[in-house]
Amino acid sequence: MGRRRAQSAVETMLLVPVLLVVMVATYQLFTLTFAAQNAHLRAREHVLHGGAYLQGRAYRTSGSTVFDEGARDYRKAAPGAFRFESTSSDRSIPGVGTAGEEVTARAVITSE
Amino acid sequence: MRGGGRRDRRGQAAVLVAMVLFTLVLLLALATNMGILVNDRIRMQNTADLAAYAAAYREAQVLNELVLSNQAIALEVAECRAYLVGNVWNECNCAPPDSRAEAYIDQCVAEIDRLVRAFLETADYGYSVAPALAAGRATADANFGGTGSTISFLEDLVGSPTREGTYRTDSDLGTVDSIADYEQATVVLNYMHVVECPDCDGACCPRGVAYPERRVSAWFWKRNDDPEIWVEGRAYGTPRRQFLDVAFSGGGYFGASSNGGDDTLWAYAVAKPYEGSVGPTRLSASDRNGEWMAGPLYVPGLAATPDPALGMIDEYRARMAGIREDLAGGATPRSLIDAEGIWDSSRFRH
Repeated sequence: MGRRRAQSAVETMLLVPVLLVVMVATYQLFTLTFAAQNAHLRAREHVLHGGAYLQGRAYRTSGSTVFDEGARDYRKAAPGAFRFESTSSDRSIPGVGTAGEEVTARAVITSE
Repeated sequence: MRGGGRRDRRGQAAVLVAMVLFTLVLLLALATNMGILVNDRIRMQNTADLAAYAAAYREAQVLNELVLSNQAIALEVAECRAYLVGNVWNECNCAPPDSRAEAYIDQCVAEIDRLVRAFLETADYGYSVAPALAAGRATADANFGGTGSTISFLEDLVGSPTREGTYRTDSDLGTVDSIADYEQATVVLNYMHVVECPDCDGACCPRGVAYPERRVSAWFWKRNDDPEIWVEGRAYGTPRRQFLDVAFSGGGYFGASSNGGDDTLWAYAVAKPYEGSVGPTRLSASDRNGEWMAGPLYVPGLAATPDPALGMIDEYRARMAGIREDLAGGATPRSLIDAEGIWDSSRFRH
């Protein structure tokens, strides 16, 4: 009887770490996915609207945009081939054994 | 008996651990798949948005070129009129017209025709809309490789702004499938001819005044009164990676694959001016933002017979456009458009 109780304890001891690892992995995966989605959405916002809606946030954006920051207005469509490209980076939440993965997304508006 | 029971229970924990681990790994796989699926959906929507925007931007470029081309025609008419009004036409030939004035008008007409041809070339579908759609597809590929060929712009729908043959630009020099519904305006070039005859003792003496005129097909105005040019980007299909296949039909992540459910993701963009319009004559004069008289004319009652509208401005931009809220309730934009067989931009807002 006593040996069987010990058996349950051993099983629990074995399972709990595995369960914890899987849960932590799932959480980290969630934060990574969230960061990726955030990066894609912010890149799209930046290439279309510049920094008009993106100020003061943790993520980073850069690149050319159809929004003229100086004039605070959308660019007149100038002749010729065009290419506007923005990138946005976000980082997943640091977790066990990781400092957080940086995800960079790109949004492009191009004629060719 | 008791000893045999202990032997039966041996391995029980291993089976339990195996089952739990399998379940946990499956859950992790599902969570991964869901994350990637959602991520790809976002990318697909971004792709549709940006493709529609790129096409609208290209159309805005064309509209700006057309405005400049149209204004060049109007300026040429104005210059011709100013020259005709600013000179004395008194050929001693007993009857109008004045050959020098007519020769000058011939030059004007030739130059106007050259500018009109440039307008037609710019408005032509092959120069305007087709490259816009190509820009949309290039943008789709740049954002989500392989989606360029699946992007659709309602090219197959009668009445779609992106379908060849929807709009036509009519001119004396020909008719082209076009980016918008333009019609050429006919304007007047005339001059005051002081008619003289060489019968006053061998000298010329005045016999009266005439106003010879020539009607010239000149600039263009837009027939349909929608001031914007709409373009719709539609990304559809299944993301290339396929997920969440509980039937394990093969391939994909963690051995899973499925049709994933086809997604049609919509996006609308529009090439539009910020102020004024492209010249629908049903708008008020102030809204046309450009109706004007191209130079002086020797025509009595001029104010009552103005030139046809020249309602174009050169400030076109592309904007994203939203779908009107009254489309809620299950109707898709495409189903509405399909049902009516028309392109009705009043259903959308921006």
